[in-house]
Amino acid sequence: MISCEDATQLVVMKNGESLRFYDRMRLRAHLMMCKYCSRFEEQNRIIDEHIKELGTVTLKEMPGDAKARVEKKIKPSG
Amino acid sequence: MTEEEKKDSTRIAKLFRDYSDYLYNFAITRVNDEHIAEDLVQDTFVAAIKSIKNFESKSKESTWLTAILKNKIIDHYRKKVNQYKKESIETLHDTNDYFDERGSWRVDQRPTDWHLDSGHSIDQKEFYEILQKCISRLNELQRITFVMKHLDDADTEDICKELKITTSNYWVIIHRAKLQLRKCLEVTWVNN
Repeated sequence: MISCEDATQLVVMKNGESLRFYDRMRLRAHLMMCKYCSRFEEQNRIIDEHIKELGTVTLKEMPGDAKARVEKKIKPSG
Repeated sequence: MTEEEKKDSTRIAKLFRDYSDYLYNFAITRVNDEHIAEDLVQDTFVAAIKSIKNFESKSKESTWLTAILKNKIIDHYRKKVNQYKKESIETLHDTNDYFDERGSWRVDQRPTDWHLDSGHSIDQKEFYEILQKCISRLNELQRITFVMKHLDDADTEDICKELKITTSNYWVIIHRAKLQLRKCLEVTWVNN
């Protein structure tokens, strides 16, 4: 049986990349018997689901002083 | 200033008002540094001024500006990665905080149950803030690789080429990043 370290590596790789049949089987067998790696798989999925949106959620507006500096720089000199 | 130049500069000023927050936020989630984000937004508008004449208004302004910013971010990554690459890849291989010598979870590192099935919904804003904080704690190479993969949905092949790393290093980096992120979320978000 593969180790938890290998199993978590395969979990991370299986998203988007196609695992070889052999690796898929080994991973499935491991996950059936290991609740920690099953949790890892589930939590990895939660992270993946949310992370795409992270780039589009506005968490931080540009501070006023930074805006003023940039506006000054991009103003035409004339 | 000619009439046309005046028109362009009014247009740029308006673009800045409309999109500076969006672009700044886009930059900061990817570079994790306020000064660098400010510089990148500035560079984006400087480039926009130069190319506004060729910009056809039938494509979306936000798409156009974001494309410029993305290129600036990639340039920034290239510079950063050359500084950090060697040392970061070496430390990735010889530190193992999560697994014992047989590759099993260390007792204190085992993933705990997040209890998300009990109808307990995720507070989105809070989750994103913590996720962002956890990403910012990754080392430079991990963070850049991770952001390119997940936020920008780049191909593995392109990322490896851009960052000049091998595919196997790439997967080691992503694996380590995921282990660290999961742990960070568990400690700061789930256990609170």
